[in-house]
Amino acid sequence: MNPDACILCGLCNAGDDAYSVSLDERRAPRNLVRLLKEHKDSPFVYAAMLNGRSTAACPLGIEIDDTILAARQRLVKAGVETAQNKAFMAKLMKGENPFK
Amino acid sequence: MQLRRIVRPEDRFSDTESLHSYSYDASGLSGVPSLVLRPQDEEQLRRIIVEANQQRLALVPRGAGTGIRGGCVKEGAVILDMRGFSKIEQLDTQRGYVEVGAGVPVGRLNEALAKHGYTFPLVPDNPGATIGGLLATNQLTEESLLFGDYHDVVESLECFDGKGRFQTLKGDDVSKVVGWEGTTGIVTKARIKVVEKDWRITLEILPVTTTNLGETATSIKERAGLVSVEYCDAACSQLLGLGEGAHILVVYANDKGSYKDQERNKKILTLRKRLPHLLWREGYTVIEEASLDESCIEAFIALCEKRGVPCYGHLVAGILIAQLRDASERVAFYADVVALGGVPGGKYGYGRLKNAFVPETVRKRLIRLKEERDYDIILNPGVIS
Repeated sequence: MNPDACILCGLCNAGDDAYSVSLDERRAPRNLVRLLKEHKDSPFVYAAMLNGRSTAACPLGIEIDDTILAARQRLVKAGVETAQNKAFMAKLMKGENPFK
Repeated sequence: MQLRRIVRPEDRFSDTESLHSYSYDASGLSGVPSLVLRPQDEEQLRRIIVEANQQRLALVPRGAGTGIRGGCVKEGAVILDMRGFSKIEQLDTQRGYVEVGAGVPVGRLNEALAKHGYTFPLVPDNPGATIGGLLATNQLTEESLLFGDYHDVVESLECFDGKGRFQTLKGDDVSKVVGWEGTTGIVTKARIKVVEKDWRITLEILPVTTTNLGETATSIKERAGLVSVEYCDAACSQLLGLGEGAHILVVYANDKGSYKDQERNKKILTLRKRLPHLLWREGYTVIEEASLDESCIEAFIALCEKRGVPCYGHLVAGILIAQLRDASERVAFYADVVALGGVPGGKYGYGRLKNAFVPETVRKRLIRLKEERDYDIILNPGVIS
């Protein structure tokens, strides 16, 4: 189902651990989908856990994880990355532990 | 703005993206706020309210933003994200109460309570809704016949009025805040009723037609142990697996019902809770309720049939729900409900979407409460107004 069908119910939010811990609306999958519907990419797409639970919770069957992943890919191609993300990837590419 | 300095830098947002993120809820309304603050304790909240009074700024409390009437959406307002009040405190198993912060989602509360064998009984359609949000809107749920509404499950609550005065309200005084959608006080914590998680329920599933609906409902409503008496039209009955045609689903907290298989009963009730979402999938994405006298319930069902929209709801409480295909159908639907003698509202609060249908008695009571509690109209102006 296309993200344009989203009715902003917020049932997807409970499935995302980053949101569940922070309870920060900016990180809510619902909000990310809404921004993407409006063709606005947010760096908070990097915070989404993409664990499949938001997609599973969506009553309209919107592929929320795929939608957010596609936005991430767009941001990476456009060179818009968070500092933490860049550092994480640099360590990973060097074979170092990215969590340290 | 002094207001900003009251909370930590990470708890205040004024950049365009953040404001945009707090500019909506599940109602479809939107309004970009001027500032978002996330107070973490009572002292921060008190100082914010006092400062907002001095500057005459509108404060709009917000929980999870799952409301469908636009109660937490206001252009230019200061949004108070209440999810800093997220502690689940004392569980009193002897008296059956738990103390819980206003920012706790009811689903999370019930996960925590389940570990002790308890549950909060009034669960809304969306378990992401916060306790504070539910107390503000005083939603009717499928369990309300047995447990009452949110007034009835609150033993006491802690709140601030519009002048920043901290109060603990008990007994009838909780109704000065519960159900007023954040216009008469901002709840920080409540002591609410819990019940044992696996309470036994039995069901009765009665096929009905519009000709015997009233008679059937009348024969049921005085029975003991009723949890809910729910009307489901043919489309809803099919989604719930109740069989062909329309039905009344009667839920008892005793052995009166003929369906006693607990696993099956719970499956049906879980589906009933999810019925609005199942209908979204069918394309009926706009939830509209009507408060109806017994005499106009059948006419309302006929109206839904004529419009080709599904209809279900709380028969004994006189609140039925129709799900429309599109928001553009709302105005004509409201006109039809009023023509029947009903009121287009009564379950999900008024918010900013349904101000036109606030009964005069409610409006007058709010004016009196505002004089007592929020004379300068700082708290959520524009709701129930």
